[in-house]
Amino acid sequence: MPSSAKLHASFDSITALIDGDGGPSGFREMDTETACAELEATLVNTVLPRRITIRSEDGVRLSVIARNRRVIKVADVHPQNLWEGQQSPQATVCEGDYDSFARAFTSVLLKIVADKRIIIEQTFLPHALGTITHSGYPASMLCDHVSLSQNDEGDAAVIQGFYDTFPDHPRARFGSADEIDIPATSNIDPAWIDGCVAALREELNGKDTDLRFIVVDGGDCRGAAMAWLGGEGCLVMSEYPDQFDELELRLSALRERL
Amino acid sequence: MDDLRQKTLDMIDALHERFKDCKLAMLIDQETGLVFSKSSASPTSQSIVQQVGADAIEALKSPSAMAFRASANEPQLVSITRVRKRDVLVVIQDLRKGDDALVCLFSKSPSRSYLMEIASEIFQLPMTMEAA
Repeated sequence: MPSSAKLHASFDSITALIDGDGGPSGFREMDTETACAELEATLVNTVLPRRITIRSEDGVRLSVIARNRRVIKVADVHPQNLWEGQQSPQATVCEGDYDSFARAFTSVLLKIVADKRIIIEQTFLPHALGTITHSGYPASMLCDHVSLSQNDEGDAAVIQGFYDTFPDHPRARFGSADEIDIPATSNIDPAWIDGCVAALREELNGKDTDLRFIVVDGGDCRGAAMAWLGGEGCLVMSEYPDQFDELELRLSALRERL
Repeated sequence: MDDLRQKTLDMIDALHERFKDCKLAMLIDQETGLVFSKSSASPTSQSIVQQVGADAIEALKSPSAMAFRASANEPQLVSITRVRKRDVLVVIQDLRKGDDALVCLFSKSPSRSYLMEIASEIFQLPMTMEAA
């Protein structure tokens, strides 16, 4: 499909120019999927070394060195704080692995193309490439990784989403946000829930992820779901057994994040 | 004792029968260290049984679980579920019956209410046998 996408893009550019839609600058309005597919097609068709840049009209850009249908180096990210990798963009090894490279790469790309007019440029390299020891990032994986990234909500957002699902429950949020919220109808003591959170923090120290559900049945019945993902946590309680299944079901849905 | 053992294993069999996703079920007497365990299709190594048992006891004795138990008025039955990447660990303890704990390992979360019913029957066994 990349070669047909390329043909489609070229034809589009020509008709846009004829119709005057492209404007003299060549920036074009595209949806995210089309923009990413065009970049993939450009990279897949790059055999000899080129610098490929994708830029939005407001100056945000991602520039890579591509060769042999692979991205072999990230040359520039502007503004640089868009890059969420462990190392600087230039120092990051380009490889086919999502976690070590493609997550950061596609994350920048999605920020550039989101609802914006963009342009993809190619230039020859003014200098020799030098020795590149790694094989590079296969361009054909780009659109798959973009889809993965689009579904890749951050841990804080996932935890906050879980917490927000239960506004009428006694609940606590811990991690980057700290709050205890107890409805007026609840018998839960805020000091007790605070102590529970303190105990949880101690138990979770050094753990990346944890999902727990606890029910105590007796004179009164209480259930609690606890979710902890990447340093963000929440505790949601219920005093009504008919709410336990919903709580447990929602918690189990977070399993894919483990 | 043999009778109780057999009845317990029968109940665990019934649990496997009802929950197709149950990979391992065991009854642990924390006081004596006695364990009755049964796994589904494939044999389970001793080290896995021991690890699951250790995880279950850790879950029961964790400070947050203890705090939670203490908050409830006259707690009788406690169930703790740990949702993990490869399995779901469920530990159920009848606080009126000493230190016995039913520990189950599932590939996905089970119906909790039905599991609690079966657990209550298993915890009743020694009493029923004694009465008989």
